[in-house]
Amino acid sequence: MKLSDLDQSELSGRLKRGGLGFQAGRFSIQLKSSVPSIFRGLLELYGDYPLTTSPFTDFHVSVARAKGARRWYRPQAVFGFNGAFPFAPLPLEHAFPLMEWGLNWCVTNHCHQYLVVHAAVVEKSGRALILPGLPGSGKSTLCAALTGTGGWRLLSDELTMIDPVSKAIIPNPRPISLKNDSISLIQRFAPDGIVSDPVRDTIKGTVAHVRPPASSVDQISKPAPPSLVVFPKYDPTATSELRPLAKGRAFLRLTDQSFNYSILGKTGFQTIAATLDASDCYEYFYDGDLRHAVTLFDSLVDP
Amino acid sequence: MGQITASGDVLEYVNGTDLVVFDNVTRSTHLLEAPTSLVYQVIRKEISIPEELIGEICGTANIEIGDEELESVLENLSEVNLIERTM
Repeated sequence: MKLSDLDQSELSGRLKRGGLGFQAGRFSIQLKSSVPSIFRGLLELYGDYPLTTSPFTDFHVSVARAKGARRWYRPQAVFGFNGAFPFAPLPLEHAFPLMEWGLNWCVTNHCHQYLVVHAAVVEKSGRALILPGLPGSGKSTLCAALTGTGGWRLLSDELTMIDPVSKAIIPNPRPISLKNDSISLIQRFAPDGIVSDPVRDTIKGTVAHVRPPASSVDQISKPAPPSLVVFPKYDPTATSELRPLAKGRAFLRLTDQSFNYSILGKTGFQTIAATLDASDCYEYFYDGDLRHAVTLFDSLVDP
Repeated sequence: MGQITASGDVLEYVNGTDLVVFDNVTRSTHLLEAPTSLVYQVIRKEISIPEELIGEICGTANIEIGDEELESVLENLSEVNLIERTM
């Protein structure tokens, strides 16, 4: 049963009672919230996600109105995890992005059974393409373009999880987070996609989320072998170009982009080495021409 | 394919002329590229390199070893190469 199978009153009731259990990517969530934008965001972006019936849940989370005098004149939202509140409250209208950031935090701080890299990852023809990058590098924009029009499967737009045992990429598809100009860019490039209303003036600027393809959600349990590691760099003045990258340099850059490499120690080192052994490595300078990007990456997996 | 070797608290990953070293004590990772990586590996007698590259390596390698040690490495190169040529 999927989240969209619930009628709205049932969905709202479960959310308020703290009984909405669903599979948010790889992990099961028990979510409690009475904030309207959380309800709307779930309807809009999480409809294809399966409800869970197991008593075991990975993360118990909540998004609630912050208490105190400010709730009367500048209401705020606060993210809760297992009854604790790890972040400062944010304006109430930022509640949905706050939930998404909070769920990312749950993964990066608690899921050390995987090497977690700050990277988007998509798959086509059985080959996973890892796109590591700093904020602003364009990895989520590329990810949205590839999954929105190129027929690529979304594994994650933000957190690439590599299993140290199997060395496979573990899917964790959740809504793709877009910022600022990339929102309208993707709306023009992939007009059939569902993009949430932009939320303005967040700590990351204006943000919006793209609903993942249903086929990607359906394949939550299907890992993918790494095959390509491409470090994107968005530069509107550049000419789009793919340059081979030596694996030694790719190694160091992956360690820089990993959240828990130093925690995993030797296991992290061996996992990165295995990932690079299985992958061709590149830098991709691009000027925002998403059609060029999709064609280029298609040619890498289906030469 | 790269190759991982382990020695105590140090892991090494060799891919082509790149050498990535992980020190598990300090949890630090270091990249050595050619020619430094070649000298490093030769010191450990893990690879051989053509004699014509010796001068280039000596001239450009940025590695903290004493002159005597470097000369010892270079002396061994001929033997290593000789073995390779007879295989």
